[in-house]
Amino acid sequence: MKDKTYQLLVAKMKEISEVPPQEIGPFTPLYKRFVPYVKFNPWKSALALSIVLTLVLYLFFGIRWIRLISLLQLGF
Amino acid sequence: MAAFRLFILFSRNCAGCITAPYATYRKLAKETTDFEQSLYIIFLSVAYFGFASIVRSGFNNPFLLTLKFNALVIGAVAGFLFITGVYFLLGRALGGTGTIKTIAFLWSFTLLPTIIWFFGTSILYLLFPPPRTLSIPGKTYSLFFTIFSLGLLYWKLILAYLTLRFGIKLDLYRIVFIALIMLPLIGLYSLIMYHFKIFRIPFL
Repeated sequence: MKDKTYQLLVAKMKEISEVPPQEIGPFTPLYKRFVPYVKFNPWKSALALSIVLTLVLYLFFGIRWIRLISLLQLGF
Repeated sequence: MAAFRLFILFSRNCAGCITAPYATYRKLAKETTDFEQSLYIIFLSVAYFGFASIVRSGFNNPFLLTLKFNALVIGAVAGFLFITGVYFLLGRALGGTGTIKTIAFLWSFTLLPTIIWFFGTSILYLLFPPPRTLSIPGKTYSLFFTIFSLGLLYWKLILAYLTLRFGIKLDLYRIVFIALIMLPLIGLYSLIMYHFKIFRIPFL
């Protein structure tokens, strides 16, 4: 049992060390705070960000944004 | 039976890409994962190309329909090979360690948001054909369509990042560097596809 736990632990450590740790200098703490929103259930942050960006687009571009949507609809 | 097992595995990984993309991509990048499950993504893509060809060309002219379908398939395959090839070469040049097989496999899962967007857009085209107007329903539709598109783009970018992170094992700086090189290349690919009237928006 003990050996199995140890093996699982080693496997987990190996898995974690597969990719180099992510460091971005002074922004590392900020990065570490942001990352969980992307790692787990990113659709929540995707929805929030999309709504905000859509409202920004609507406020800034108005009619031109609606024309762009018409063009995008023909884009398939 | 093997096909069913692969389908279950593929479905679980698709769900994983939505709920926990980081953990799912880490798992997918392992050598032991079944690469054959990409066949389901190919199947979904081909199903879309068939559907889009019918929507655009109709059944009246089978020659045009076949031509359109073949053009879409060739354009998409060229895009896929181009992206994975460039990722592999750039990744290796920057000290990455992945294989082209792993990169192609991981990149194939990034086609999920693409397929959903293209299918969704073509179905919406049939239900609510453009152009959009400045009326309340027109604006409301535009709002929802933009949220839908941006949400899928965000998901796509996450999966593309994870392809480079686990497929080639690069850090953020190198991933951003590759993305900056890829942007004009993708622009060029999009222009070529547009010029030959294959894709107005690239299927990547």
